Amino acid sequence: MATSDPTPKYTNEELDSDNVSKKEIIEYLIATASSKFLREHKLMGAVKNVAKQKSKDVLIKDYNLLFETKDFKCEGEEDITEQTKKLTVKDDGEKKKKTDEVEEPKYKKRILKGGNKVNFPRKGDVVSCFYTGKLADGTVFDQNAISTKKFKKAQALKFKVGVGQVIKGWDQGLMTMSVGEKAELIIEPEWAYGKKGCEGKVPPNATLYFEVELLNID
Amino acid sequence: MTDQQQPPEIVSVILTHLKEDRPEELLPIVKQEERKQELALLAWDLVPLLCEFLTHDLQYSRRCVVTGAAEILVYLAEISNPKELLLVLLEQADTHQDDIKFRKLLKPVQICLLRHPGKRTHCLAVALETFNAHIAALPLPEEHQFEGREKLLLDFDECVSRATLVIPEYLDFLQPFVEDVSWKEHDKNHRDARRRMITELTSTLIGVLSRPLAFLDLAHDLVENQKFAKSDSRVCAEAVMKMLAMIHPNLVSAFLNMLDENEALKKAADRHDDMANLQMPLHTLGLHVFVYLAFGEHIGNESLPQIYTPLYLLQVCLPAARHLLTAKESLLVAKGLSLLRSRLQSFAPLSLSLKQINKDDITATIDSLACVMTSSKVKEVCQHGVKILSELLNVFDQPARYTFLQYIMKTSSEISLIGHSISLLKNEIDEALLTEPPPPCFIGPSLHTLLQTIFSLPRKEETDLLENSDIIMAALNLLRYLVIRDPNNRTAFWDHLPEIEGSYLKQLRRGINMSRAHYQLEMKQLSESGKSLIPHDFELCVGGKDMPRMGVAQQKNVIQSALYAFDMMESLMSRAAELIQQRKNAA
Repeated sequence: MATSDPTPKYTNEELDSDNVSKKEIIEYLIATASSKFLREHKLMGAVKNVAKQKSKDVLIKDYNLLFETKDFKCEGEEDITEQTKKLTVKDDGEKKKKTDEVEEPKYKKRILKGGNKVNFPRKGDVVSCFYTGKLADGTVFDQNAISTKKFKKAQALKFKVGVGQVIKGWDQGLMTMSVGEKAELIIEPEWAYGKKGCEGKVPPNATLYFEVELLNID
Repeated sequence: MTDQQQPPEIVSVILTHLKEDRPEELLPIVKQEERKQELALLAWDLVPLLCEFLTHDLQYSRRCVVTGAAEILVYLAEISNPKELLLVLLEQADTHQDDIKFRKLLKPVQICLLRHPGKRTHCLAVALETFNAHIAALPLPEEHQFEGREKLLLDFDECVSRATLVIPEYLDFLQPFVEDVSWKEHDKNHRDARRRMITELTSTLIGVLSRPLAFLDLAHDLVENQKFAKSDSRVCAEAVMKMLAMIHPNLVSAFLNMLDENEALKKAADRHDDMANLQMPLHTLGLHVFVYLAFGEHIGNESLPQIYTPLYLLQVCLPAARHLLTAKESLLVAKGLSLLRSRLQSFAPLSLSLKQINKDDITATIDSLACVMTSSKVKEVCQHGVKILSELLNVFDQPARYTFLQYIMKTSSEISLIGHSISLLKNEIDEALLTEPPPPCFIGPSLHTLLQTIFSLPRKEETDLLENSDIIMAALNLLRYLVIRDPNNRTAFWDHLPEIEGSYLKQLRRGINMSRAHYQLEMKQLSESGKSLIPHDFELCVGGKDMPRMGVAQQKNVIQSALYAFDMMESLMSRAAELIQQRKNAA
């Protein structure tokens, strides 16, 4: 649906002569024909590859056919194909990243005290734990254990594990712990509060350092 | 009294001094060590007599008398048998009429309770029941419909200043008991008593939130980019939340437990169980205000574990937000909006999908927001509602946005909301066209489904164009936008254009002509006859109130503005048609 149809660039004589190369014809076709036409006649892709697959005679046939069918490129269509290519590449990248996430957890665990290695929480179990959460600079942003000189007082935190109530680093990390275990969970922002951070307590893109003790499973 | 005719000397001395405005001379006499025993015995009789001086009128005319009487009450509480005195004090509290008596009785009752540790839990429960009744009976301010900085004026409302005077004193009364059961202090003994105390105190504090605090302005927002001093009511709310955070180490689980318990109590009440008689369910409104303060205003953050996901907190808060949004009072609606907004702000755009959340929760929230946008009396609240609807859609991915926009267009009966949703759709298409390839939900067949809804007139050319003008204008704007923005048919909108031209635009053009002719005729009649077109026996009633009759000049104005509206529609339609023609010629 272009404003006006392009006129043929080369005459038949020119095409037959050696003055016009295969490469030039392909470049012209890619610039002028619609993507449908290019797809149908296997003219999509790098010029070099198309030239390998097609003889000059076949290309001349395609060239003439283009002016017979008038299947020219619409305005702005070039951008689309260009952008599609770019985006397809990007999509692949994202997919790859997603599979990476499954393979590589965004947290690290360091066991500080071994658990009973018998009772591990399952998805949906209610677990109780003590915890202290710190930022990279050591600032405690949250804890449920208060230590005084004489004694330690704390109120166990209870929640359902593995169902998305808590940040992913906890949900996944806790499931690998057994009752009595105390561990340090170093959680990357993607599995914690990410780009947004959290209401004045956790800054954006912060890695969180939790010391968690799994007390029991209800 | 030992003898009705002749009261003991000390009683007469106290009464005479108080009546004669000489309380300052009285205290040294009363506090003499040798009188201690006698007074302790007489306390039962003295309390009612002293309470007569605790009145609102005296507080303003002879303040020192009230203070003197109150001081003697405190002294009696310190020296008498706490159990007995508590009974007589509570009896007095039960008959209180004004705030002065209520406020002055708090201290002696607190002293008695603290001196009576054995049965403290039970006695505190009785005392709280009496005092809570007074707090709940405090009058509520009227709907002032203040906006922006004007809201600071609320502190001058008589009801607000009364509440903000009484509540801090009540909280002072509660303080030692709250400290006693604080999770930071508790020992493991007396577990049952502690649990009972926690229940009683929580119920009291939630009660204060539900009435009167829910009906006051508790926000501390930026007003015109400035943070003003906190209002008195906000200070009260913060104090209440601080106490709740002292009792409950985790506000999220505290709230969920309260909800569960309430559910159980309500069920028990339905079954007429004994349990229902023991404990009253918490005030739902109070619980929702609690959620608003904790998760909307971030008060009591120290008792909010930083491990929950934003999605989980949104799910916890949504029912409360919806409940607040459907309230009649604009200050409650504002709380709901602020809660919702604060929760939405913890998400990055496009971060939620339909798989992660119950769709009905969101559609119900959209319905509540629609209600706010279309029927709130305060302009600021309406505008806030419109903004938050966009923010709500914004946290979702495109397929979810599509679903919710379609939901609004298909189910809403609010013309202005549908009009607004069409503008939101335009923004989505705009965003979609920036990406390559555009997300499938805002192009091709999916878009076509929406366009079919948008480009249709419910009663063809006979549709009331004025009533539907918000939708029509938005639809025509969208049409013009698509023609300009998508000349290459990436949205496949051009494939359906003939359909739109053939039915919608044709019907609309006919409709405009018919309506215009009708109104022009009315205008002519009105101008020629100079008489009102409304019959004499016709009365218009809106919301139960009779509307004043419209004069001829006013009627002319109405007709003129209708004619303008048709002109606007027509000009927009012509512009779109012109652009379509240009595009066709070019092709």
